[in-house]
Amino acid sequence: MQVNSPILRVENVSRQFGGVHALAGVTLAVPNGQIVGLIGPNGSGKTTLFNLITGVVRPSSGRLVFRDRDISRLPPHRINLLGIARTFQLTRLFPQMTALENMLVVGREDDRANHARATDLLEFVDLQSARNEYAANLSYGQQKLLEFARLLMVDPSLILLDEPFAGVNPTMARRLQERLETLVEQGKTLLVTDHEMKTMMSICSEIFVLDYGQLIAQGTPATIQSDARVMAAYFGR
Amino acid sequence: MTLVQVIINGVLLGGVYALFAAGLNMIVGVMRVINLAHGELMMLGAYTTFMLFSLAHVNPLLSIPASAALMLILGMALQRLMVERVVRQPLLSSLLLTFGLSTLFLGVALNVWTGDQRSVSYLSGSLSVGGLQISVVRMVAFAVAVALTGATFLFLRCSTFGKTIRATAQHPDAAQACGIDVTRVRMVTFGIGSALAAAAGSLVSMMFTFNPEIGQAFLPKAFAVIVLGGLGSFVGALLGALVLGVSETVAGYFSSGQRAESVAFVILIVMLMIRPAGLFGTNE
Amino acid sequence: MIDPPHAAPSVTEELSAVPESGSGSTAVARLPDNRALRAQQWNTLLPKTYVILLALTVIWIVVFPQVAPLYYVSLALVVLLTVVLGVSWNIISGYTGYISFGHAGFFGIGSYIGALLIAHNLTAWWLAAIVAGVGTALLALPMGALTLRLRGPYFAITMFGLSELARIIVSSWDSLTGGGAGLYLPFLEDRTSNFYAMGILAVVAISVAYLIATSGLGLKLMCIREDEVAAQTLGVNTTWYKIGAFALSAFFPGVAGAVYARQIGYIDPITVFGVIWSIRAVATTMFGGQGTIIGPILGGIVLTLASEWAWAENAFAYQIVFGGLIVLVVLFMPGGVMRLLELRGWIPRTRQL
Repeated sequence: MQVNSPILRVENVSRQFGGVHALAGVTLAVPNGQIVGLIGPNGSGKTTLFNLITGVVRPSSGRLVFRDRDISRLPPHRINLLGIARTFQLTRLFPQMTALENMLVVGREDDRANHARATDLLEFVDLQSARNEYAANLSYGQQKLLEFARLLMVDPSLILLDEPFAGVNPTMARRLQERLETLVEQGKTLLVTDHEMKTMMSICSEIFVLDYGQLIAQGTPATIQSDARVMAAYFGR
Repeated sequence: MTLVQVIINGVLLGGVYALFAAGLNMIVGVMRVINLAHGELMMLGAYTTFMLFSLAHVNPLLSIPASAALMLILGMALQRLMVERVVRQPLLSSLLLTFGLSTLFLGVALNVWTGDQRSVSYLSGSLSVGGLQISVVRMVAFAVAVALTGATFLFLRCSTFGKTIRATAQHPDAAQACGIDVTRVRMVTFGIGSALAAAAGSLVSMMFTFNPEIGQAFLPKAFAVIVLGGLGSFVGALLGALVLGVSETVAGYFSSGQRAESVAFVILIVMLMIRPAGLFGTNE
Repeated sequence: MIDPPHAAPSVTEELSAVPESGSGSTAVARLPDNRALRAQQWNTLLPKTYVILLALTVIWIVVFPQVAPLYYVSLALVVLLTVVLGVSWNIISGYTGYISFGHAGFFGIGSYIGALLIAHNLTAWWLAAIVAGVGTALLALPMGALTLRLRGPYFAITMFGLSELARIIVSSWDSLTGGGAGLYLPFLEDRTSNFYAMGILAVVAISVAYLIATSGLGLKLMCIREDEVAAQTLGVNTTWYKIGAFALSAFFPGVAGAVYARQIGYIDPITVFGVIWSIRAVATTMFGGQGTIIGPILGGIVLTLASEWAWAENAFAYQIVFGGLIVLVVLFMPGGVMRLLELRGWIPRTRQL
């Protein structure tokens, strides 16, 4: 794979649920090593696309290619092993396990290495003090951070973040932004979806816009902000 | 006994299965509770008829409203006092609860009536219809079962409260937002479902010998019917019941009673594996 | 519309992305920091305590049959058997959250494998018991591969169906098993060896449970219960772990069934495949506390003694006691006794207990 080729290619992907077309013929390429945004009104198919990329759901048609490898029909755990990880819109932690246990359970190395890595990552998100607290008892913000730290345990190359800034106060949002930039410096690729437009426009180098399951626009933040179709999608209905 | 007779027996049996399964179908559809005690409710209906018949010489057919009414009340009480408390919890809670209730009822019934086989010998003999010998009791049971199942179907389809029940089944939160008292709907639905099971039990008491364990024997049949016909589909369940009835009698004819017993399990397991939504699987 | 029974996520599940935890418990007890510290103190003391208890138990197993009257030895055997059933059921149902109503099936299959080997004098009885366990576990592998795709309640019911189907198959296979008439085993003068066998089995089962619960393997099983889909997206091959746990949970009742057959001297399909064995496993574990080590042990001891006492008064007490108990636990104490103690702060929440 060449250095500058896209890390993920979505090729004419569609997904129906009964009569509903959640995604219709979406084609896009996620460039390597950047923060890429995915925006669109509610119901436009963002989460479905995430589900398809991570193997939680299969495409009705089309292909998903990760680093020149067709992942369209792989089970979720295989896809994660290849290097893709995600967070969920409503955090999905392991509620009756402690924060530390949430981290340890996904570790792939030996006990010592896992423990060391878990500790470092909890440090990275300022959750070390809460490591023995049950995930169910953490605050909303802490839960989001834990879910984020947890996926870093497996050192993924492509990270999908589903509304990471939702309900997060400005201070935490800034800290999160810093962490995301750190990850990019480490060579990771981030695909982020959120409704927090100001933040999205400032951190993303490229943005894809979905509406009713179709890709209606793509480009830099500046291009998107002045795109009439994007305006129409959000305000024109 | 010819194959045709066997098939007809199966169809007649299927009618009773349909009545039994209809009650469970309603409960599962409206409140997403898999009532493992449904068989015991049927069993209690059978014993009600038996007691009325042996102690007071009440005509078993006339005892059906009594057993149904009794189980209606018991069903409503169970739901209101216990099942309602776990409705908001994951499905497994209500499953375990009804599993416990089923075991409890079985224990109580064994205590009260012992494990001896009972029967209600009211109707007997057979009628000659078109050259075939058809058991009278089965024909009558079939007629009653179909009538009751049909009446329930019409009630759900046409009456106001029936529509309320269906609305709650389709979307409890939306129903509540429209002013429907979903708690009451759940209570009544569980009651009606139990009453239908009791009626089926009364019919069964006339057709077979039974003891308290009959509930456990019949419950898998209700599940088999529902997965065959699709959760929530009335017509599907009726057809599923007929398929089950005929499969059982034919299996019994060609091999043994035990193989017939296994039909319900095989259907249940196979259907859950391959087509969990059943053959129809629509919401009604 | 009811969610379809398959474990693969449905649209509604994914779009709303609210995880359904298997045990139905509500918020976990909030532990202030000094209690968290106490938990760590417990964690260092517990392994030593367990070793001591283990030693004491082994001594008791050796000594008890020599000194106690036969009735009490038989009762203790049933206690040990119930503990084995509960502990093994807990491995699949307590830790992974896949609640099974078919545990009796494993007991029955093991019973028949063991009984057949012994009756036909094919091997030493203790080897027959082990083969019975291994055989049951091997049969459980394809069973689990098929059934563990189903979600919650459907898995529970299917397992019940399979257990019944196993009973019917064994019952119909006259030529091999003697069918409904049952199987007789050679008369046994001294039954002490059965007690030892069951005792060793219980100790092994509890040790295995402890090792699993306190290790990374335990965490992997638990995360299946907590949120299977999330676990998959984090690289956990939940299918493997589920099936493995399932097969392991089948081994112990398999061996227990064989020992039981030898103890009673006669088995038939209705007895060894009876749903009461499943009920024992479920009720005792739920009462004691699913997903804990002590839970099934506590439940097994308490409930067996309680129902034995009740049985003296009333022949059908078992069903009433166990059934009533399950109802009470679901309504008023989900998570069983262990959870109750934890909520009151008497014991810390730790995987070691």
